[in-house]
Amino acid sequence: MRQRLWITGSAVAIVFGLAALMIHWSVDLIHTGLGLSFNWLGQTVGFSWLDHLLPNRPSDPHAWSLAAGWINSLKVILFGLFIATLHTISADTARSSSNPFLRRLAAGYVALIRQVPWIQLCVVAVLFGFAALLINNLSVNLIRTGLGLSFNWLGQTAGFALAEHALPYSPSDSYAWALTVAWFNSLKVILSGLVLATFLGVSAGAARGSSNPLLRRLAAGYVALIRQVPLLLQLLFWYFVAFLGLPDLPIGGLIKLSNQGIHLLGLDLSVEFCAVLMGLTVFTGASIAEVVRGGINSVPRGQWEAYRSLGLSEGLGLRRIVLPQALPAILPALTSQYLNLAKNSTLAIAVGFADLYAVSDTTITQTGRAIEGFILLLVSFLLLNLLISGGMGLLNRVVLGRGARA
Amino acid sequence: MQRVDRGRLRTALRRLRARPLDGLVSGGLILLIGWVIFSSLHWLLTAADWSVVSVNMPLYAVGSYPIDQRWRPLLWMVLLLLLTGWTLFGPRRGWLRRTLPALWMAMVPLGVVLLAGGLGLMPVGSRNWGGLTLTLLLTVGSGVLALPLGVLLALGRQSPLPVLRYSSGAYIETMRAVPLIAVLFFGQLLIPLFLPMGFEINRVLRAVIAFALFAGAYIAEDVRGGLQAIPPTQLEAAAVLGLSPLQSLQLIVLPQALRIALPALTNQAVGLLQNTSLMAILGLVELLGISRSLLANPEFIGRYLEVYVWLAAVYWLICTAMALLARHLEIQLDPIRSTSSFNNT
Repeated sequence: MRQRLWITGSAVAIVFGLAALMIHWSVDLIHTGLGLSFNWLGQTVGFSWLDHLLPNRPSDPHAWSLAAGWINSLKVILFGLFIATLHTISADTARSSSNPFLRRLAAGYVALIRQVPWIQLCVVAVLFGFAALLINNLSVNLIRTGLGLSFNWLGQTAGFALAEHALPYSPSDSYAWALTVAWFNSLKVILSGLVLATFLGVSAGAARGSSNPLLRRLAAGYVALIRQVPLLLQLLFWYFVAFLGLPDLPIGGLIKLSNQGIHLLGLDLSVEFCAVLMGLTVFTGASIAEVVRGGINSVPRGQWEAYRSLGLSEGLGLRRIVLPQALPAILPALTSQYLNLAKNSTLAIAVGFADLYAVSDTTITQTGRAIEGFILLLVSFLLLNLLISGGMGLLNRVVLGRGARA
Repeated sequence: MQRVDRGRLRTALRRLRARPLDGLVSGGLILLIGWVIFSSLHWLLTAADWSVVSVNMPLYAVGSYPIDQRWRPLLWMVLLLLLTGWTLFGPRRGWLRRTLPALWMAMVPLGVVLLAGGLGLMPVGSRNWGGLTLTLLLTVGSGVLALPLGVLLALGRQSPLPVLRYSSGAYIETMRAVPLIAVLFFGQLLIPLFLPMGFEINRVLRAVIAFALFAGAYIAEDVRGGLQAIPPTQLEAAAVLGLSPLQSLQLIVLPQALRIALPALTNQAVGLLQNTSLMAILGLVELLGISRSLLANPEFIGRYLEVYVWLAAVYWLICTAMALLARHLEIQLDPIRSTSSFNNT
């Protein structure tokens, strides 16, 4: 067993050591250029290692910098071996300890290690090696471009205006605030899109099972057309043709339409927002219609015959008998459609709506902080996804719980 | 014939009398459809000017490819079309049929060689690739890369080794949580940062890699569905026959799983084609990108509707053709040859 523990530790040490070595190879590649020559060893290196045991300055020659790098590698490897030794000794000691808790913990750990097949170690080594290679390339590139990783820029003044903001915002506010405002813009369009797309989708899905042949075919045509045309194209259509094609002066009474914006019962909506909302609603509505149709089809035909023989009207039967039974089949698929809608809302950048992705894009262009911006975008979307799937999980529990009680 | 018509009319009238609301709905719909048809016709006959489409047909097809070299992308598209026809109407069995997957795979390197040049052809930079050619190249290229990736990820997610299972799961879930445009942006901006110095890949390849990484995660979930549908007795039977785990995977499990996953995979392929339009935002001049640059041209300013209607028709045609192709394959691959499993209307 001791041997196995030793090998585990050494494997970790070797992987980390290799990662450290790769840094030096890449730096070599950067600074040598073409041809075989060792003159560069004497030239000034121009950068310094952040982490070093030997004194290290940008004005040092390459040879010295490399030596410092090698010492660093040695440090990593020795440290790894030290950890491996420590880990072996402590696990061994703990197994024969008098403390029952410690003993059991160590025994459990050893049993876990024993179960690990060799191939798994290889997979881990390869994955780590690959990740190390990528991260190492990244760090070399970041050092080369002088960027490094930092989130300090979040506090700087953004300097750009947002046409649309639910919270107070001005160009003198920070990037962090601009991104927050954009997050709420995204949330606004996503939530209103969810509601409208659900209405449209459920109506179209129900219409596909209607007894009226005209309505049935219209719904089928809607689904067939919308699902085979890219969403981006549809968004551009809604923006450039439908909404910017409106007259300059408002038309309509309660709902005032113009190409400057939509005025809806005291609610002022921008053209961009309306275009994104319309595009997402119509596109997602078609998918939801398919989900609803599938769910309705999963309810046994006998249920229809049952409510008809009870004398219920078609509408009442659909609402009270069929849809509640179809819900458990519909809800999971509906959740994934909602998540799709949230993800698709990022296409808003094409029509100039200041959503999360569009503002992240501007931020990255202005600051050059691609990695950090991407990480923030990822985290924000994780948050949005959790919000939606959490809400749907709650709904699912309520619906299924009610079904179980009934 | 006439009697049937009269009978149908009588049924319709009877239904109208029985349900007045139904009649109201029908009347409203007829009015709506009539209005849509009337205004479309009005626009078609009075306002529409299709010169933006007809003049720029070569641009839509091949982008700004050098004029004397245009036969190369056109040849590739014709070959694609021929191969599609061959798959649909060619012989059902025999060695010719068995070479089809290899031929489809070979279309990607063939397309790249034809477009990029080399081997005696004049080199043409990827900056000049565009239009439908680029859309198809992006779709086929990333599809061919994403399928093996997706199968590997799906197998990884089912693996008894926890490390493989969790890392595949984490990859799939992360990719599925992120919007595609962010992944493409990542591909264009960040892939170069993760590569060693002096190692550069062009924008089209970067886009293909990003698409493949994204679609792989979705394909993995579809393939997993197929894998889960295969009863464990199949594996036991394979083991009894003395097949090794690799052999039973290759001969027993994967063919069945992929066949079950085929409808879902078709949806992915159609989605992939539609999603290539996102590259227009990131500056590639594929079908939508070239239209955007055309609409910025003062000569065609304001001709949005014509261009969008035309593009929608092209996308719709290709997507529908893909769906038909897949349905055909599905029927062909079905060992029982039952066609009744389809109730899509």
